[in-house]
Amino acid sequence: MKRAILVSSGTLAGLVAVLTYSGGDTLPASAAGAGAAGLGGPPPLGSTDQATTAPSGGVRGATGATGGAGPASPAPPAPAAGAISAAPPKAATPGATTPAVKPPPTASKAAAPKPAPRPASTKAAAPKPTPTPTPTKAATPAGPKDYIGSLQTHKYGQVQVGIRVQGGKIIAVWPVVYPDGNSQPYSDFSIPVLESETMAAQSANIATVSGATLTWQSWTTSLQSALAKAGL
Amino acid sequence: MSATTETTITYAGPGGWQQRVHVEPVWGTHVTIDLRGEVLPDNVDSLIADAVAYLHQVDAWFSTYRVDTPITMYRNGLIPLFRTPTVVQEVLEACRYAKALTRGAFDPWAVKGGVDPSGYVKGWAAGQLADRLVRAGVRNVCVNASGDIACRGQQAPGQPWAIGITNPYDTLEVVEVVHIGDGAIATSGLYERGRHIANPRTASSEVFYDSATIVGPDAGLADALATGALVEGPGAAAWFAHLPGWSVYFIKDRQVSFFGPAFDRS
Repeated sequence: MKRAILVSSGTLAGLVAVLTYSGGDTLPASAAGAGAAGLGGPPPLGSTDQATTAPSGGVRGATGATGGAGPASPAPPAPAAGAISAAPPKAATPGATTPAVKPPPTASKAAAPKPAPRPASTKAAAPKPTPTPTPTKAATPAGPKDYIGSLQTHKYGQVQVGIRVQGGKIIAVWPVVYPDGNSQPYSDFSIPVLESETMAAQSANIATVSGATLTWQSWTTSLQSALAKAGL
Repeated sequence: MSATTETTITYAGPGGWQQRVHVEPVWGTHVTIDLRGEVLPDNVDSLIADAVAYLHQVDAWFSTYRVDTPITMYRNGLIPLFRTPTVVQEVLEACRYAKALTRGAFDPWAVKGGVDPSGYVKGWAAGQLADRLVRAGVRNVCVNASGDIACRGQQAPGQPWAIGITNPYDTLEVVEVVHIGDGAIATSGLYERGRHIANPRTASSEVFYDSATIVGPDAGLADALATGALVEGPGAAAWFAHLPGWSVYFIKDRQVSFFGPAFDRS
């Protein structure tokens, strides 16, 4: 009898934990904090999936329907900071040409969006030899070629990386798909920095980072597959 | 896990090596497994599957978010410690050591609900998994459990693993690169998603440093010491009198302090 009571109280505690977690889910940051405060994230796997797919599914829908994360999406909150305000136009260019839901595995050349010039990226701005918007089809052996990495899904959305390669070097990196919706401000903040870091990391040759974030890992994984396609 | 996630990628790695990267969503975060070598074992697919199973097994032992795990049952008083799996007892013993070493700055017992070894387990599991993969025949392994990293071997022919420490004020920028052969690195900071640090001394979430990185041979202890150092402050340096070969890299108010062989610039 006593055992039964203990069991049920344990279950109750678990339920409370679940409820607390999903309550915090509306705020991505706090949800993340709660998610990994303990070792295990939200306990029952089913609830994990629900909690994570709900927002990202919405994201996917919005991105897929409009073909672009930026202006067409009804959701994007008003840009709150300078770094963020620079992002939507950037997002619009690649997003509009590539269906977000379906990563183009074969049509990398045709679908590859031209990387819009990215003045927001502080470090990359100076050294980046702003690629001339050459028509991709006219790519000669010496000309730049575009490669699209794998689509990476993480807790707060999706990331897909495009790279432009010329002469065995990456000359541009840009997000084909990146998370929006709930994690929009976060992504807007992080992606431009990632671009510059990716450019820098080419020489630094870093295997991974300590203090990593979900977006970083997805970015890196997608980038690695793009590099593989490029044979770099 | 997720059907829509392309989590495993094999490609030509650096220096003509083969490389396999797998990203597994688990523990409320993502764990990246990076295998490299001149030739990866033929059964690399099953090695990855085994590694993934192990990660979820760790969750089944140690998740404080599940009611059916030994750690939760122990916390809830449903089973005594000696009835928990040996591995749970070993981890709690290691936590006791880390608590003593840090003089209570790392204290898994200073939480509501009994004990929460999560501050040790993530790094510990990364180290355990790296060792399993080495035993299975992979020479060069890097397991990154969202910032708690265990490395074995090299990242490319003749090159130790190069690990970036992120800038806590610009979390995707790298401020320092550490080279590790066989060893571990762990970073704690409030900026890191999926981390929640509590100061066991004040029962608040006050911390001293903005970022604390520990480099050493043991991934679990590195994880615990990084968590402890974050709240302890400069006094943490004293712990390392008993830990030769370890290194620290602390950031506070844009000022950096470090010591140890990993940051020896000479």
